Amino acid sequence: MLNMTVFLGYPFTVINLFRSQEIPGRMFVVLVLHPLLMEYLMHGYRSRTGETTNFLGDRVKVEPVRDLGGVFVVESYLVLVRRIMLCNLGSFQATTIAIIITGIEETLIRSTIEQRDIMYHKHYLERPPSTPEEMATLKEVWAAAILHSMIAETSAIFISTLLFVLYADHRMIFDLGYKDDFSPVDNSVMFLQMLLEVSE
Amino acid sequence: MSERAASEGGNKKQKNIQPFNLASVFSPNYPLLNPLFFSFFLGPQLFSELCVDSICTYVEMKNDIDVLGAIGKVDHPIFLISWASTLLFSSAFALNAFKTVPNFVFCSSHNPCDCNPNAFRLYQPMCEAIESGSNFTQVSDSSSTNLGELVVVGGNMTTVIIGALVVFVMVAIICTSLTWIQRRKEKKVFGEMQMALQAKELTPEQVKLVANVMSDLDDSKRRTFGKSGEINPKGKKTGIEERRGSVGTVAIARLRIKYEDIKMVKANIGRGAFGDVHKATWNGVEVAIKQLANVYIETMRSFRAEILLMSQVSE
Repeated sequence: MLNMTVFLGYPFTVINLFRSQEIPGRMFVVLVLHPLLMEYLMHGYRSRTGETTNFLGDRVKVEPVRDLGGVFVVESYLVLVRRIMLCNLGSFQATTIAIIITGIEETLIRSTIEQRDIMYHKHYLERPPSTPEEMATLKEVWAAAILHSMIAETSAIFISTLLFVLYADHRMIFDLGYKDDFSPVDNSVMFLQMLLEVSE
Repeated sequence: MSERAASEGGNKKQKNIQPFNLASVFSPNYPLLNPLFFSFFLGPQLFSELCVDSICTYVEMKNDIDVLGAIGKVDHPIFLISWASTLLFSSAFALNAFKTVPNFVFCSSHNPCDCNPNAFRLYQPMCEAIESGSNFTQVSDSSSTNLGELVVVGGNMTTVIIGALVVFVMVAIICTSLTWIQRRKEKKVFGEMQMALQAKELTPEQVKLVANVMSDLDDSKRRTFGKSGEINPKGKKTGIEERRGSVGTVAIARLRIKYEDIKMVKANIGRGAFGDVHKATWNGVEVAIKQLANVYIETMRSFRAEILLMSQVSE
C-alpha cells in the first residue's frame, strides 16, 4: 500500500512541486525535501526486521536480501527520480553543485546507517536495546539495504542518462532536463555530468 | 490535443514525424550509445563505480556489516531477473512521472500555454509564437516536434527493449563482479585454514569436523531458515542457530563459558595471531585467555574454527 502511495502520489506532489519552482526551489526539493522523505521511508522499511507474515499467514523469519525486494522497488524509483531531478535543475552550475552535495549527503547517510537506525529504534519506535541475535539480524538488513542502494544508485546514473538521450526527440513530452531553446543535446555536457555523478 | 493545437496555431507548420530509428541510436548524434563509447568510456566508469563501492564495502565490513555476504546470498537467476524487472518497472514509472502532458496539477487548463511557465517552460517558445501569431518551427537533430504532434511519436517499445537489455546486462555485471570478489575471499580464507590444518597433522575425523565447521560458517549458499533444526543445550533455538543450525554453531554454544567465571591473574603474557593472551583462572583451573584485537568476520570464523579444533585436540 505504501509502495503504491509513493508511486502514484509522488508525480502529483513532489515532482510537480519541483517542476513549478525556479532553480533555488528546485535545489531545495532535490537536496532537502526528497532525501528527507526518502530516508524516512527507508527507515520505516528497515525497522521491519525479525519476523514477518507470509501470504499464508504464517510467521516466518525475515531473509533481508529476499524480503527487502519491495523496498528495492521504491528505492530504485526514488533514486532514479532524484537523478532525473538533478539533471533538470535548469542550470549546469546548479546541477554540478547539487551533484557534489548529493555525493557528500550519500556518504554521510551510508556511513551513519547503523547509528541512525539504532536511534530510530530507541527514540521513535521506543524499542528496548537489541539483543545480540536481533543485532545480527539488523546487520544483515543493513548489508542488504546497502547492497540494494549500491545497485540502485549505479543503475540510476546510467538509466537517467540513457533516458535523456533516448527521449531527446520526445522532449516536449518528457521533461527530463532538456534546454528550453530546443537546441540539440549537448553531449559533452551530458558526458561531464555523468562522470561527475559516477565519481561521487 | 492535435486538433486543438492545430486550431490554436492555425498558421503553424505541420511536419511529418519520423518514427524512432534504431540505426540513429548508433550514429554520432548519440555517442553515449556508440559501441566504441561503451568500450572505452562507459566500461572504465562502471569499473570506477565498482571500486568506490568496494572501498565503502570494506569500511562497512570493518563495522561487521557484511555486504559481500549479502551478495553471496544472490545464488539464483531469479534474483537477477527480479532486480532487472524492478529497475525497468521503476524506470517506466519515473519516466511517466516526468511526462509533461497529463500532470496538470498546478494548472486547471489542458493547454500548457495557460499553465505555470516554470513547470512548462519547454512550451514557452511555442506559446509565445502562438500568442504573437508568428510561425513556430522547431527543428531538432532528427525530427520536428510541435504541440499538435505530441501524441503521435512512435517507437517507444524499441526504446523499452533496449533499456531492458541494458539494465539486465548492467545488473548482471555488477552482481557477477561482486560475487566473484566474495568467492575469491572465501576461497582464500578456506585455503589458509587448509594449510594450517595440514601443518598440524590432524586425524581424518578432526579434518572432517573442521571442514564441517568451515562449510557452516561460510554458509553463503544456504539462505533458507531452520532446515536442520538442531537445538542448543537449553533446548531453545536462537535466531542465528535457527538460521544456521548445524554442527559449528551448536558446538560453539556448548563450549561457551561465562565471563564472570574468569578471574584475571596476569595481563598480556603473550601475543597470538588473533590478539593478546592473558593468564587467568577458570573454576580453579589455570587457563590462557585469548582476546581478539580486531573483530572481523574472517577473524571470527578462523577463531571459532580454532576453538573447535583445540577442543577436539585436547580430548
